[in-house]
Amino acid sequence: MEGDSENRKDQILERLNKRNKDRQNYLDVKSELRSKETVQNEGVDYFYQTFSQKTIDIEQRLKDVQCGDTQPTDLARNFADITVEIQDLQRYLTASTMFLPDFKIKSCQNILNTLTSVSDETRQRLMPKKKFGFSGKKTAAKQKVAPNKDIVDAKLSKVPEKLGSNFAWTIANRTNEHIVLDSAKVNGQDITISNLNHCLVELQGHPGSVQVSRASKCTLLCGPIARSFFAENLEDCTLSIACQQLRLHSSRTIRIYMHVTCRAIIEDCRNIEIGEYNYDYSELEADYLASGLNKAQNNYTDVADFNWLSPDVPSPNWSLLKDYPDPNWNALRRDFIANNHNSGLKQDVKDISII
Amino acid sequence: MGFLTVLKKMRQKEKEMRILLLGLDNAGKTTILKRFNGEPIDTISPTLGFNIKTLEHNGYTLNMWDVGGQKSLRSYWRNYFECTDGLVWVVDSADRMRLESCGQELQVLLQEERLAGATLLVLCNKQDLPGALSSNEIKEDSTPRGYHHTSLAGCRS
Repeated sequence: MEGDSENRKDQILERLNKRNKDRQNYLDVKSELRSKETVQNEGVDYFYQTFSQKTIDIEQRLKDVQCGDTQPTDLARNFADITVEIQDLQRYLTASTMFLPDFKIKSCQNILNTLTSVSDETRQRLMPKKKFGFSGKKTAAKQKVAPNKDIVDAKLSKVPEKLGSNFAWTIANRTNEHIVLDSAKVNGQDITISNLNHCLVELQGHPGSVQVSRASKCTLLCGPIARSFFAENLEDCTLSIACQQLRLHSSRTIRIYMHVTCRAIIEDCRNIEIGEYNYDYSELEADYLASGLNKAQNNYTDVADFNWLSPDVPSPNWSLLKDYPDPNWNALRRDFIANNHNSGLKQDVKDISII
Repeated sequence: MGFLTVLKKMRQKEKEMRILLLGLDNAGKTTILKRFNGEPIDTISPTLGFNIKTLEHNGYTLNMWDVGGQKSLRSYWRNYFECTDGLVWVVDSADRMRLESCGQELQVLLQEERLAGATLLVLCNKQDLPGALSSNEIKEDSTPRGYHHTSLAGCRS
């Protein structure tokens, strides 16, 4: 009997102990879970704090940049720093998305997007692009979508100096001058000519290409051009040109003595007279060879007018010279020099700017 | 499977691309096209209207449309925009005089919705000329903004 009750007491005690242990285990697990949760909560809180602090920092920096009159070089560095900071913040957000609620992720992303756009905008405003190129902002470009005519007008009114800093016209802004460029200045080069008034220009060599913009009452005599001749906005001029392709735009009252191996085109031109090329100087033959132009092929009678699409009726904008005396360039040169004896012949060597 | 998906699958199978070559006049569009096609380039005249060439490359059929770049032809460019997969913008790297208007024309072109899905290649032609700007100079912070698939290449044709 005695042993029996003793046995039962042990059993009960054992059970009690076991239950107590279970309960304690359960409590431990629970408290562990709870502490884990708090750690996580702390993480979220910590993220909110850091994120908002960094946001404020970046905003402050942007404000500083806008207010202060910093040097352009510092400006560039500041913007680079800001961009890096924004990127860091973005990375931080991405890394934290595991424990962030969806709503918070979205709102943080919105903040980041705003920061980026504000930074870009400020950069655009404070560091406008100096160089030409394709950098125009969308809004700016939209205005240009407007009528084609505006674009043309804008081009006409453009001042040559506005072009890129490293661009220099070969010949520009001259009046009443006789300008002769010899082969050393001309051969293989791209010759650019702008804004001439009452000048006699002679290019004695074989240029790669020639571009002329704005000239009036001028005579341009040119050796064989390897590729193309391009001219716009000429008035009352005489040209003697040998080239592969000739393009003449927005010009009027022009007489062209030309040799074109492919084709000549005119656009927005009036009163154009075409004759055959007959410029002559000592190295002409050699220059023909060097330029690679085929002397036997001359399509000067076949001019395409982009403003005249009817194939049957000839364009009223141009005509072939008929029964004209061959121009005498020597006489013309003599007369020109005599009429401008003040300036006399200027063998332009010094003040020619080559690209 | 929706009808559109069927169409898409068919199109993928075809592997046919429509490429549009545009740029200012005298940039060398026709020359590039003829070079690709292995034709002689010494008798090229300014393009009146357009040229089409079909090329085979890597199993793709490329329909190359070369449209003249004269001022009076530019207003017709838009007639070629439909279904264009790629746009090649040809720049005359030596033509500094008109580089600005070249950029403007491209900018105007990029406003076009029908070209939004097309890939853009800015081809800096005439890199062999002494006065040519390098493709990087032309690029100079100039990748057209808001346009995603853009690459830049220099070449001499």
